[in-house]
Amino acid sequence: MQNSRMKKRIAFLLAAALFLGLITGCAGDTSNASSAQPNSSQDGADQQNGGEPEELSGEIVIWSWDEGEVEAMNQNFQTAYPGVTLKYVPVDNGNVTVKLQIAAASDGEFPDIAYQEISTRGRIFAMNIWEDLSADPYNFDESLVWEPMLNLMKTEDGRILGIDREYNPSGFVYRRSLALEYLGTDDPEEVYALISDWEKFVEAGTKVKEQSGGSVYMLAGLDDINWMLSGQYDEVVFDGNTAKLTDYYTHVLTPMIAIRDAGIAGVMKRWTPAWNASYNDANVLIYEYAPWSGTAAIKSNAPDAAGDWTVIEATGGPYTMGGTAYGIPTKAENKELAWEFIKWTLLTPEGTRATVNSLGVIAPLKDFYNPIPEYNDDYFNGQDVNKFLLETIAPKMTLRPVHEYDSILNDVMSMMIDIIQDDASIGLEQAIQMAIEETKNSLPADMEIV
Amino acid sequence: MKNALKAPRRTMEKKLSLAGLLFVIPFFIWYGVFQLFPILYSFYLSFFQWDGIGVKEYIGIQNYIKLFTKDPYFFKSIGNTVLIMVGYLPITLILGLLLAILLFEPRIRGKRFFQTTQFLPYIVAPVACGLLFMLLFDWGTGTINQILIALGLIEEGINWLGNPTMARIVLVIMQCWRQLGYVVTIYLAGLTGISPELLEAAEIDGAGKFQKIRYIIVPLLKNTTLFLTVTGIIDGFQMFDAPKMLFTTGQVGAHAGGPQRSCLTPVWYLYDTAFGGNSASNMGYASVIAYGLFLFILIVSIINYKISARKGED
Repeated sequence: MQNSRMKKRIAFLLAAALFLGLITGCAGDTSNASSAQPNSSQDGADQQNGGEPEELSGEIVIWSWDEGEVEAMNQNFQTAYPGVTLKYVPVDNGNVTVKLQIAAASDGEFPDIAYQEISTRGRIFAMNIWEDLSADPYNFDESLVWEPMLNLMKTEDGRILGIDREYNPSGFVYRRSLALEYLGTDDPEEVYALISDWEKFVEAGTKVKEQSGGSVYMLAGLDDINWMLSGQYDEVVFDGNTAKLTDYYTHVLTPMIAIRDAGIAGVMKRWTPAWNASYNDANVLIYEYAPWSGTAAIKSNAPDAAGDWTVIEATGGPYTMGGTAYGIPTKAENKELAWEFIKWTLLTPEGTRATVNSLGVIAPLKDFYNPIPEYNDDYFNGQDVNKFLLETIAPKMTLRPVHEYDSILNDVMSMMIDIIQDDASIGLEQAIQMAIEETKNSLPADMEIV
Repeated sequence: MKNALKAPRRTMEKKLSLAGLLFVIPFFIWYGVFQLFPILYSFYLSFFQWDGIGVKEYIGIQNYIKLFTKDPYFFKSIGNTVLIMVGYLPITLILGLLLAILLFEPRIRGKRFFQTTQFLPYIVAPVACGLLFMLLFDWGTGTINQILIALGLIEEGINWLGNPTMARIVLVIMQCWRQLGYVVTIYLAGLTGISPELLEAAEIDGAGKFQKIRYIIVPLLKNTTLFLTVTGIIDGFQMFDAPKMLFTTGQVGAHAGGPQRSCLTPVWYLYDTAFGGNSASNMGYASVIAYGLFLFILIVSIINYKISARKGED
């Protein structure tokens, strides 16, 4: 009898615990909530103007996909703002837009700073969930940063919705040993002369293919020049209700079809295991190069190949590749602290120095490079890569403004690369028409296509 | 006296019904919040144009008209899924049955070990599965191409993941690998329900192995096969994470659906539409895709049921 009563009590308690667990599980998590609590809370003016760094305290929540980077930035920032910490919330690069959308749709929590990666920046800006950093109380001074960058940080109506963490004038990097063996020279000027336009590029690639018996490629894949060709197109594609697709796709597909027909590119896609392995396998002569490529691609994938790389201008001209901006959502809890972080990290000499040392990027603060600090890296055979990028490539760079439909162009080209690689009978005109048709499917029905 | 007896019984009944309620309420709350509400809310959303952030714009049935008359990908995604299912479903059912019969043999040594390990692929996360097959079938460095070249069967690597037909074949192979363990397990359970006397009697009458399978086992496992077919079809139409991982791992900005969208599934299309992928997101239209898929699965299930019911009558 007693056992039976005990069992009933236990059953009742279990049911109640289950029920309570369900209710508490539905409660929001407030532990991530952060609040800026300056010591002098009465002085709003101080807070608007940033206040004294030592006086500020609080936690800045950052959505990022790189914990190491956030930790490094946290340590740097605390040297000036000892009372403020960065809280890293992992959000995969591909999921940032999804998470922001979900937060907006469900009135959920936003971070104080979210990363705005360049491949989806136009779409992220179009979400209209960002603070305008050119307006009060931020009043970002455009003259502080490199001019070409501004087009990547602004909307069509001139609002600055993010500050780029890095400046990425980009070119090619080639493998010296392969160049010497198959092109007959590893001198950068001579190598560039051999690939200075796409016709010469294909000729050089054909020579490499013939001499190596097909074992060495000029490029790892057509995907390797997709971003470059897009970046080199500096005219506006989406102008109001008009999409100028024919000219854009002609620009991008013409060299790709020529390279495909010559059979001088591999079939690897960027950032896949095969592409990463190609750096170590020494079977590809040329890759795209941005200032971050040394750390992110070359050194990590080919740790034993120091001295075998040199950066040159890319065929077709300069471009920008990659890049991440810091944006402050309008629903962030700690906007003022977030701005303090962005200002110090990217727009002050002290913070810029720390950022450059930690991340190995070319910082957006242009006065920091007056004069250009010396940068010698074993990997590049003594070449001062930053000096080359800033003095040779950057002055020629013009960038088209970001647009919310840019990612549709990337999407279509990603598909077109598969199609033209798989079917060699598809010529340029057909490829252009296919790309335009595919793009139309994703654009508003009333958009005029030219 | 009777009332005195009834009173404790009613109290007991009240206590039992209260306890019962407490046990079922959590489920119904969970169902209401996480199942019923999303179903109803997405139906409501299907009449709006909404990117998930801005203002909802009421557009009536325009989304439905677009889905069934102008959408370039919805029916393609359904067609892709049907093709892939026609590839892997019969293979897993036939192979699963044969494997189950084999593993049911009392004379097999270590059959418990095999029965357990053959189920392991089913519990591998779809994400891991997609990544694994992406590495195996990579054009340049994939293990499959390396083996085929080493055996002299091909001279250069096959573009498994870049060619529409090959991509579907890879997906079929992946689904077979994943689903086989589950099918075998269900068939093993079905086999335990077959009376051993039937098989012994057949053996005494001179029936061979194949005849026992054909005339006794297969007919008696008809309901199990029907169950596996229906659940396999429903599961097939919900394919999403494995193909997505297979074709987009490591690639920022990769388009949805694999080469020429040959492996685009309805749920992948729904996800891509809802959360933008690389184009503008449209929650309203994504809701319509969900309902379109629901209608399709409903029609297929009804047809399947009617065919089975008719065969049962025969």
